[in-house]
Amino acid sequence: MGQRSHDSLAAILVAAACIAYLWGAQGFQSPLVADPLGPSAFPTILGWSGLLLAAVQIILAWTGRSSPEESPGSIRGYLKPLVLFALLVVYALVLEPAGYVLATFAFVVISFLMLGEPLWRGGLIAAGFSTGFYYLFVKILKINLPAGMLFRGW
Amino acid sequence: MTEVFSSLAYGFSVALTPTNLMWATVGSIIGTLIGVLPGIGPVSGIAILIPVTYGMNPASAMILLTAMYYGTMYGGSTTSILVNVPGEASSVVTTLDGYQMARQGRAGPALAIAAIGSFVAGTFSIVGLMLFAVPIISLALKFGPAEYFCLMLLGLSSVTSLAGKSLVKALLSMVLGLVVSTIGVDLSTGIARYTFGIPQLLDGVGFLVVAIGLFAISEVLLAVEEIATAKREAVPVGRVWLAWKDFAASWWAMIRGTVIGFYIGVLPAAGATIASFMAYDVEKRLAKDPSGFGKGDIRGVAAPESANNAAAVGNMVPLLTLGLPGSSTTAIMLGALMMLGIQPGPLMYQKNPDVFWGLIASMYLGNTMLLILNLPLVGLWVKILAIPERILYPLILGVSVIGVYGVSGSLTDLLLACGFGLLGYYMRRHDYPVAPAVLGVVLGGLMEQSLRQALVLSDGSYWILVQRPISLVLLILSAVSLASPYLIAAFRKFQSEPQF
Repeated sequence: MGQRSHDSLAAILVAAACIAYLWGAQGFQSPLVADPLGPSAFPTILGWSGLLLAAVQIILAWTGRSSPEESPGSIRGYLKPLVLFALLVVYALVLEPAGYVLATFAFVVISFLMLGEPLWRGGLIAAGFSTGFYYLFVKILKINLPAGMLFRGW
Repeated sequence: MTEVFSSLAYGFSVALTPTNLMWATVGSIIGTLIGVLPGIGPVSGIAILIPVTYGMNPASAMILLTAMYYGTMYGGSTTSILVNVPGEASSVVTTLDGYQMARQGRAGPALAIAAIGSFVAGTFSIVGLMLFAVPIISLALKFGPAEYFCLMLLGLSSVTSLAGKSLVKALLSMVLGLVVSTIGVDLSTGIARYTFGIPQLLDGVGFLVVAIGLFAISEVLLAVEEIATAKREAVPVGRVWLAWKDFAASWWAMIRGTVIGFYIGVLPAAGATIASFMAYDVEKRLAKDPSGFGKGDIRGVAAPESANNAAAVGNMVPLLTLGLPGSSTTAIMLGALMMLGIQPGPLMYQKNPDVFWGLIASMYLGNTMLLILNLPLVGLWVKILAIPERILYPLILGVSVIGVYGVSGSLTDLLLACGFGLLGYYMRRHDYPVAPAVLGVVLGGLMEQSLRQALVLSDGSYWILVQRPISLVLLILSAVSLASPYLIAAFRKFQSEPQF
């Protein structure tokens, strides 16, 4: 898919989102008389601006004046970022039950393996990083991070 | 004038406490580290470290962040000179002569003049900042809601006009940010907007969630597509020193760079990058023998390095006096201040003089600190340069998670940040700049409130925005700044056509 069809598709999605957003803005009724604009006016302005911009983007894409054609990128190129993103989401989900140290260690080691770092060095760095940062943020900077099952009362 | 100096003395009394002195040192070192590290830009670096300031008093927090900001600029120029890789856009020009000097075995003088130029520029610009800030603040104190609305519009349009290749895409990004800012309970009526019944959204989407997602997470996702496997070889540094001859040759370049940089930095629509390019260009035109430029002329390092530092200070003028950020970094700092419960602008000057003057005094300190610390530490920075990028990416994500979760303790926020990370990856991949979206989130709430207050005053008529002279001027400036890329292109075309 070239840049032009990408831009048109994105503009259509943006337009759909704007319509939903505008539809949502209809529901905000202000109980105050002293506020002539009320809670729905600003979202309405934004929704229409978004629609207008999406329309311009479609026109630019069709008339061939959108941003210059770039290499669309192969599926292989997208693979690593998407896998890393999926790992990140799993990391976020297990953070509370597993605790920061364990979850971070696992996440960093698995990402290192994916990025081609040898296991022994990656494991050492991951262990040092996860415990070191936990200590720095929780004990010194007093920021709350989940301790998890293993380190409770640490 | 005497008032300014007594206030500055007060500022030093804030900045020179042992705690704040320590934060200025820590900030300079961390900032330089971020600037030197491959794979993480200054904006992302500062964004993921904002939580460190959580629970600190606002003056210390700002001192830490400002020192980090300075440090990143310095670190960026170090990599420009030693490996020909600019840490950020504003040190691109430094690579032209800086790397050439390093290859000729003059890395020491190049690094030294970059540090001294930054120091000279920082010091002179801070004087400029003090002189500019007070009159602007007294003007801004007369602003009503209509003027504020137009002012924020100007801030948004100036950042938007310079971001990215396509104005439409930049504007879409800005609208996205403003849309995100409408999520949550509406302050004046108490109505929940776009919360979809999720209680965690009632407070709105936090600025850090968006900033870390769009800046830091997306930067990592984009970078892992193709990880540079070539080892970055730094040119050997040798002794960092500067001969008197070199200093004398660069003196006027530093002064001119400072003046150009500061004025450009104050303008809302321009920033350190343009300043450094202009300063380089001016030196080249003024030089009796410009043939050495691009081949390792020391003035080609002195001028842009002074200019980008002066512009960084100049950028603080609209931020501190009007609450308007002129760049991504100052947008991040604005968000950080707001998280600490401080609204930058004319009222900050009145309500939190310790933050305002403490910050200005700490800029002097930050400059001095960088000069003292960085030259002896160059050897350490060179070692850090050699860390392979693939080691850094998972660690940056690990710190990002602390940044989001550590502040709010909310899993919803963490998942939202991941979502913004993916969105930001798509946006960067397809030429949508992310900075306007982040700025939209920062300014959106205030913008809506001032628009509504203005229309209360005018009984619901939008004409109030053009009937008041200052707001009309600000509106015109916004339109001009949005049109400026086209105007500049048209002007260049006009210039390049043959004249008869």
